[in-house]
Amino acid sequence: MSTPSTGESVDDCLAIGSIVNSNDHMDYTVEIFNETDRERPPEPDECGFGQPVFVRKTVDGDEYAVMGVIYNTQLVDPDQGRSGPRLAQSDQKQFTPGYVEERTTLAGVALLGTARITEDGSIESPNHKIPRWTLSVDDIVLNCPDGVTRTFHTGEQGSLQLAYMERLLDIAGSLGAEVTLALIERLQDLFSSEEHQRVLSVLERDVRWQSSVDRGVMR
Amino acid sequence: MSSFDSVPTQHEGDLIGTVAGPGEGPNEFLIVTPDEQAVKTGEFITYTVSVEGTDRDVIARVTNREQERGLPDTFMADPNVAPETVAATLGVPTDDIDLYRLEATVIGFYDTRMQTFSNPRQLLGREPDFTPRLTGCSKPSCRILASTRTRPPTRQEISP
Repeated sequence: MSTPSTGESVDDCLAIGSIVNSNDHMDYTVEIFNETDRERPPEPDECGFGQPVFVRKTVDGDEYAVMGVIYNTQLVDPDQGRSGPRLAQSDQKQFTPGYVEERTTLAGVALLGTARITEDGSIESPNHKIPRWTLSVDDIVLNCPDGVTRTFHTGEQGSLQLAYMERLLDIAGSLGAEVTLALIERLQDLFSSEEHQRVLSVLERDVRWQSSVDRGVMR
Repeated sequence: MSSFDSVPTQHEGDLIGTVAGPGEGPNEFLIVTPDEQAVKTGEFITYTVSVEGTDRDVIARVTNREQERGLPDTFMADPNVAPETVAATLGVPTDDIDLYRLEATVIGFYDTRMQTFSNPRQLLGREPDFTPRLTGCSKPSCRILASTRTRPPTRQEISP
C-alpha cells in the first residue's frame, strides 16, 4: 500500500497516466498506467476520484505545472460482447496481443489552473485562470503531493484560493458538486487555521445546498 | 415671487445613477445606481428637462430602494466570515459590484408663474414637439419612456 506524498516538490512525483484525448480546452482524458506500462503503477487511492494531478509543461523556457483534478473514471474492456470462439486459448496471450492488454481505466481530468515551477521543484505564483496553452497527447500526468496542492490553493498573504470552483462545477457536469466537495474535504485537512476552516465550511454548505436544489431534493 | 425667476438648473450635484425605466405609477420612474450610500429613501434627486425651451430642474423623491445586484446570501452563512472573504476565495471581484434600484416619484419643477411645483407631465403634454425630443434616442427603452411623457429620458443624468 502506497503512502500519499505530502512533499512540496513536484519532482519525483508518481506518474499515474498519460493524456489520450481531450473533450475541450479544460477537459482531458487520461489513460491510467497499469503493470505493463510502469513498474510502479498507481494504486487505486493515488488516481481516484477527486485526486489532484498536474502535468509539467515548458513554455518560453519557463516550466509550469498545469494543475487538474480527476473528476470521473471509466473502465474500458474491448472484449466485452466478444464471447464467441477465439483462435487463442486463454493462456495464449501472444495470439491476441491487440486485445489482451487493452483493458484499461480512463480518467477525466478537469484543469484548475497553472503555477510556475521553481528551480528547487516547488511551485509559485499559483493562477486559477484558464491555462492559455493546450496539453499534448502522451503528456504524463503526475500525482500531486499534498504540499503542492496546498501551495496551489494559497493566495497572497496566505489567503485561501479556489477561484476555479465555479468553472469546475461546470466542467465536471453531473459530478461537479461531488468533485468540488472532495477537493474541499482535502483542503480542510491541509488548511488547519480556524479562519480557513470557516471559509471552507461556508463553501461546502453552499455547494451541498445548491446541489440538493438542482437535483430536486430541496427547494 | 420673482426670486425664483433666476433659479438656474443645477448640475453641481454628483451623478448618482441612470434612469432604467418607468415605475408602476404614472409619476414614478426607476433608477439604477452603483452608490450604496449617496441616496436613501426619502431623499430628493433632480434631473433636467427642457420645458418650453427652458431647462428646468425637475425634483423627484426617492420612495424605495432595493439591491439589484450584490454578493449572494449564501456567502453570509457564517457571521464570523465576511462575505467579501468568501468572494475573494472564489476569485469573485467585490469592488463596485453592488447595484441598487431606486424608485422615485416626480414632484415637479418650481413654476415661477404659478409659484408652485408643476409636474412636467401636464405642461409637456400640451407641447407638440415633446415626443420627438424624447424619442431622439434610438433605444427601445427611450420609446417606452416617450410614451409615458413624465419620465426623464434614459441615460438622463440624475443628481441629488
